[in-house]
Amino acid sequence: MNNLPSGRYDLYLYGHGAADDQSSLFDFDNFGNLATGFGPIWQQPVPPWNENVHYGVYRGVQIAPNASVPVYALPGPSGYAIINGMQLVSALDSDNDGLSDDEENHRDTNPLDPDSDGDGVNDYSEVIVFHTDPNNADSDNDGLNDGQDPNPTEADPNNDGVSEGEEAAKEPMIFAKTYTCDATCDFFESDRNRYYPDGVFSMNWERHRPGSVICDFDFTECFNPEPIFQFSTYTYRWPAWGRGTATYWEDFTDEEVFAYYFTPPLTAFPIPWEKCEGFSETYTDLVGGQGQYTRDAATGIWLYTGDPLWAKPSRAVKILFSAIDKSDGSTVSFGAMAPFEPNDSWYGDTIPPEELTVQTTHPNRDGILFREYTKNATYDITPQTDRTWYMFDAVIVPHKIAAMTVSRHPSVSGAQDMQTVFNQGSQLLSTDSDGPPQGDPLLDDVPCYIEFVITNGASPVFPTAFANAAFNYITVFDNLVALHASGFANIKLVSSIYIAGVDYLGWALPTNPSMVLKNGVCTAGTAMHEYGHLAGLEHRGQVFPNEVPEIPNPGTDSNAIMHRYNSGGNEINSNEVVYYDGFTPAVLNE
Amino acid sequence: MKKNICALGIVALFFTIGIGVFVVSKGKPFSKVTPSSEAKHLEHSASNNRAEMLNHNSQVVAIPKQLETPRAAKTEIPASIQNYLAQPKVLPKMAGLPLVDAAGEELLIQKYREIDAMTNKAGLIRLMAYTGGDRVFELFASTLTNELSGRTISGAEAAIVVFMPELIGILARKCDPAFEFLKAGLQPGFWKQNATWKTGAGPDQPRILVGACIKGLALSGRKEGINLIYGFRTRGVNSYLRAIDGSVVDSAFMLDYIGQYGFEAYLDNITISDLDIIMKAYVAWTQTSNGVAWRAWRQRVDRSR
Repeated sequence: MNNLPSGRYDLYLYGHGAADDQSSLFDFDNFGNLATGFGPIWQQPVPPWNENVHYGVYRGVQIAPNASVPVYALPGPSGYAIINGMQLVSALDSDNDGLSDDEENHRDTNPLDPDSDGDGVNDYSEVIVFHTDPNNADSDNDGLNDGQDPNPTEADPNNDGVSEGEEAAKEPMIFAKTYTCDATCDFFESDRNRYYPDGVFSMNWERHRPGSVICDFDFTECFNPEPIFQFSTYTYRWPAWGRGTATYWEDFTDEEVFAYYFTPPLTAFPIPWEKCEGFSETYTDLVGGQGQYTRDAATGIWLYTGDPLWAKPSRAVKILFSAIDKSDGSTVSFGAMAPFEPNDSWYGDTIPPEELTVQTTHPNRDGILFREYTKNATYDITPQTDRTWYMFDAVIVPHKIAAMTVSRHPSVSGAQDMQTVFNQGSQLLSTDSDGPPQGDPLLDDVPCYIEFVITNGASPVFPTAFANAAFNYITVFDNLVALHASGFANIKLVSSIYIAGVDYLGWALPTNPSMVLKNGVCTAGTAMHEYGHLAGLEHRGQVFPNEVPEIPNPGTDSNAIMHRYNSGGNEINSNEVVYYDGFTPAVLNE
Repeated sequence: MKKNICALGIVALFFTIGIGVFVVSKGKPFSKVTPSSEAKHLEHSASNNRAEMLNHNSQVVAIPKQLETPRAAKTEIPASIQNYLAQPKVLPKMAGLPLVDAAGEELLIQKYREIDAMTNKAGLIRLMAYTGGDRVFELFASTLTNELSGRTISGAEAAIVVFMPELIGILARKCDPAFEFLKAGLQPGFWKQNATWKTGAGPDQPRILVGACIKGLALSGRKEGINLIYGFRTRGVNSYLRAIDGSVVDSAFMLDYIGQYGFEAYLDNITISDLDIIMKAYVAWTQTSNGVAWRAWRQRVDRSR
């Protein structure tokens, strides 16, 4: 075929071997540019060949301007190859990404989306140019989307044990918050309207940047008892603040109700906040009445680093949502609408902080990750219930990063992924399993935020001096001490530690930021227990009589991570958190 | 005298059940002895001073292939032991534990038999080592060389089983065959031939058991055992020494600890403590002049490859 217009085509070939129902081989030369994804030689389907039904097709053949496309018929098993016809069809490419629809279907990509995985690289470039996976935004799983990855098929091109994404990672920040709240308040007394709640409240806050808040909320009250009822609806609009200009509340008649004036930069509303109070004045006549208040609230956050590169492939971002106390007047007062400044209690109960761990996921193509925290609650109330309102803040929990290296004995097969173990340990430390402080402070679990980055040591397997079996199946004190004291890695994985008849899971001593762990069974609790030892902690309490620890760690609690037997414990107390917070291991990588 | 008592019990047992006795002796043929008497066990019981139990002369090692059905108890188990029997996983304190007589040993063995999983009798086997004698040694030796044969044991079980030679070291304070067993166990070939159970350690298993026997020698309190341990320092370096030099250093630590604080203190403060306590004591020892010297010796051995 000669003088073809340039473009991409599907080339159909019709032919057969010595007889109509015999197969044969065909080939064509497209100046070295063979049809993508298909071999240079097409063999007709297995016999029996049905001439009017079967054909061969090369899809997505790229034809240069005025190019010739030689097609060859190669003698097959029968010794003959006869071409009956050829058909060149302009390939349908619905999303115009360079891959025909047929080929996209063949590759399970979306023929209607030029960038099926949303990584910023179109499907054609992924397949033809970069040889990445068009269905995987991060083909090498290094934490960077292919479109942002200078080496999209190599996770660690400089072989330093740290993935490209980890190296490029930036700390995300919260750049926007929203808050929605829908609440109803309903008293059950017979003189109340039995079809409608006494009050319905909804609000939406959107804060897109410092000093810019949009707030809409509706408040509906049912004043009168059944059978006569009447609604009075107030719709408040609080336009976005901009440039520090005055803003105000209006009611539905457009009359100004309240006016507040702020001096820029506005910092009074750095958070989404809740104001579901407002029923008290209506119900002061209901002495002794019983009712119920329900509320469905959601705080949303957008995380962003300022550019799309904030991959944290193995880390977690921790967001702490907590009701904060502003009763010192440090925020805006709404006067008559809310006689109390917000504090951290609601209907007499202290509101415990809640933590949301944003585990490793890739942000969207704009580099943004959205997470929403919902809080649904139902309260039994009376008109006299002492209540106030509260702000529900969302902040990124500051945390320290502890970097450590890992190495394993050469005979350890199937080495545990220590990054995963320590990630789980990080979550274990950050969890406040028993809520707000209460009772004995030595028994109260407190959160601690440490992010662990575990990388392979310069010697991913033990160096020669520690390569013999005695350092893998450890039964000798001296071997354990020698291994612990060595500086080639912080974490040393072995097959077993049998000392004095006990099968130990790990050991650490603060003399060296190093721990020896039994591979395959190391739990997050074990890792954090040994890390606690590195930080200088003794076991919680004095479990054995006459034992005098060097640094007493008072309190007994079998749920303690630092409990001697550490059988699934997950708690640290306010004494122990000081050690965890105050310790940063030196990276051992000799 | 005590040598005869211990060997006697074993031989009598094997004559009873008609199974051959595997004898290891230092060039001396195994000598048949007359049956033991419970009075001799009571002699142990009457003496609660472990220092008196030292015996340096035994030569015979007999490895039981099968134990007879435990005899019915004829005596009361002391209350302090009963308390531990009620919770066989709890590691016992040696201090204050009396020795038991032969009938008491049978009771302990019976309890041992009643519990299937080795991991559920971790405390019991220590209790048996502290308070028992010949029969307990026979049981331990049989466990190591016979009863587990062919089995693949779990990690937690393996930790206990490979500790048994150390417990036999405690029994060797009052039982000659136990001491002879340990000496025989210094050879890897002994374990290759007789310990056919399997752990994850694979081919390293004989080395681990030889190391445990060396530690057992340290716990035996016998002069011959101590001499054997110190003798390693004057041996020519070879692959055997390089394989077990760590255990030798451990044994030196154990001897120093026992010398300084006493045997019971070692058992009560070290072996039933947790790893952190054990290792802190060991690390402290490595900074003593003796510890430094022993570790320097080990370095020389290791570097002589």
